[in-house]
Amino acid sequence: MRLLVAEDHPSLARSLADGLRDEGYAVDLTFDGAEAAHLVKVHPYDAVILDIMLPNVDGWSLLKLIRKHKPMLPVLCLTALETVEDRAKGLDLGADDYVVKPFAWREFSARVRAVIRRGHGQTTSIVKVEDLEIDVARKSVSRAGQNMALSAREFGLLEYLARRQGQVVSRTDIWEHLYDQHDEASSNVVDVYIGYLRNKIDKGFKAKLIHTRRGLGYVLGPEL
Amino acid sequence: MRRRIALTILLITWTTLLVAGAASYWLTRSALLADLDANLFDQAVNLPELLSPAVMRSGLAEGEKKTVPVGGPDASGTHNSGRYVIRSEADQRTLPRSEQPRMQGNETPRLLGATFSTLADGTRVRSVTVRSLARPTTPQERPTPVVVTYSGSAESFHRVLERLLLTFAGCGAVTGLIAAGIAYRISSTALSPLRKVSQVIGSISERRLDRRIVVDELPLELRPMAKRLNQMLGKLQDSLNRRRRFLANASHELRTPVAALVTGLEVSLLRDRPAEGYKATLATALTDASHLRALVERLMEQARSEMFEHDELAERTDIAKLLESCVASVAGMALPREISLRTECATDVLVRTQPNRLRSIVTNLLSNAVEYSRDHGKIALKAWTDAVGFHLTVRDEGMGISPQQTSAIFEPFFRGDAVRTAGSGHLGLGLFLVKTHVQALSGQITVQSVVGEGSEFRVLLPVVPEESRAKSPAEGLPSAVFLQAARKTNTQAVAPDGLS
Repeated sequence: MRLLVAEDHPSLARSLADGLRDEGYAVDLTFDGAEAAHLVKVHPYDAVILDIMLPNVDGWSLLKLIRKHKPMLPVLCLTALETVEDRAKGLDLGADDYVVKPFAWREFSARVRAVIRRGHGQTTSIVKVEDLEIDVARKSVSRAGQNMALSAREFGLLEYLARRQGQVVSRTDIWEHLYDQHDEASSNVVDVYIGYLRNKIDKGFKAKLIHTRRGLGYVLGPEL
Repeated sequence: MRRRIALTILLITWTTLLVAGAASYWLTRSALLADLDANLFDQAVNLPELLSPAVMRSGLAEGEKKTVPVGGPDASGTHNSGRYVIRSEADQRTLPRSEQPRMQGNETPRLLGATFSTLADGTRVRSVTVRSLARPTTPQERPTPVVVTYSGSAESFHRVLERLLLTFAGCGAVTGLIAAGIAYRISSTALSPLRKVSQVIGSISERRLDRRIVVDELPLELRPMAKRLNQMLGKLQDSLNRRRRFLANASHELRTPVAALVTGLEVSLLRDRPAEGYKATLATALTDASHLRALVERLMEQARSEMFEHDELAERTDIAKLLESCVASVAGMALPREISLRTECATDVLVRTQPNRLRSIVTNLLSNAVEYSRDHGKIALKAWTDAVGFHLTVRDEGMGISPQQTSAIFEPFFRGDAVRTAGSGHLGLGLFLVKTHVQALSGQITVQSVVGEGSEFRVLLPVVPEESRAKSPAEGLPSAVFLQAARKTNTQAVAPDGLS
């Protein structure tokens, strides 16, 4: 999952990015509204965490922009504007959620998950693929009742594939969604992590879930 | 209030009726009595006995006591409605001295006196004593003076008067009570606007300060009061609104810095970190907390500076030292960015003013200058006094202020947009505080600026330079008037030419 965090307070922005990366997200960070507008157009994000009081292009305008160019992109407003009028305005302009500062991390983290979940049209935090069960909130994976330990990157990759189960996902797609703009581009990394994942969830099971489509990418799903 | 009005009306009515009643009672009585007496007199004078031979034959001689034996020891009888007793002129002992006759022969009858008395059977009578003449039957005789006491019933007289009295009393009492009752009702109606007004005022509370008294519904006399009350309510509402807005702004401004602090710590604690990680977190947390503290202090200062009680006693202030301490307090901001601060102020400049306000002015101007300066920029601070007062200028080489913004920069929470250094705790209150303090010191502040080149803030305070006090008034100094440094101080400003 790749997120864009647009927040102009430097220390808060960094804490947000650190916390979200710890949870396995790839995070692009910007302090400026104009840069945020540009990034949203250029990169595919799974959600945007948006502060309203940004320099150069303010949050309200950004919201309108996102809704115009990427209507399905989930947006969570994170702001100091706490009045009822402001909350209503944010939600009416198209925000999927509105969180007022200061906030508790646990709640914020859960709301981010919820907003991503809804963006994929799912309603619970448990994603099932055949006998594989992924609890996105708890970050736990089990197959046929057997719990598995995955690293943050592995989990991120698995979640990404699972949310698109049955669809072929190209290497580029995977890489764009799991690595932020500062990571070095290397499609080989994707192959390596797919290998790690296979080793954990497919090894020892008769039915494989991760399939390679030559020239196209990978897909997670039942054997065809 | 209503009872007092009713009672007053009652007393006035009763007193009026009492006086009027008494007057008419006495007038009526006198009239009736005169009428009665005249009637009795008439009858007394026309008694047939006075023509009776018996009386004549008695041959009353002057000075002789003689009884007239007509139907008794005295000639008495009942005539018309009255009874009478005729006494001879001679029987004078019964008459008071003043009445004793010195009658001549042809005097007219005269009323000597009249009294009220009650007979044995309870009848009230009026007796008139008349001197009359018994007419002679023969031409040779002289008319004999006699004294007639004629008594007539006074019952009707008394009855009329009693009825009159009762009527007056009864009507008076009833009228008084009716008047009092009407007064009570009317006063209630008259006072109901006041009750309405007090209801409106009672319903006003902090939450419902927008209610006003409807002036047009009130009687003319109450309108000025109602208008004043409405004005006062308006002022109260304005003041409360300003406070509410300030609080809302302040709470909003504090949210992001608090979030930065809290989130930073929370994220750090989400999992185990290496020691360096914790150190870094703690250092960031300290910076964030310090900015928060600075914000809160500025907010508190703003709240306090709005209150007049915050005026301090003016005291002799060493300007050079004050400037030095202000420069030291912003050095932490300036040094890392290699911004230089230069101060120009003579060491003997002493001014009578409120030192803490002045310190706040200088510190805020300096930190503003540092905030908006470029790295490696220069800031110049100058202070001096002259005949006009105390001057202070702060010049920077920063980004400058556009002409449209020169008045807006002194508004609370204004920040130059492009430089929203949120992390530095810049609340946008600095210049607003400066303006508040300058105004409290009865001074002026002006700014000159060129966008991209820099700005110069000039503060002028009308204060008494301390040196001038040493000079004697007789030396004929320039006639500038030195104003008092601050409100509510104990000092007296003495001008050289004796004006104060």
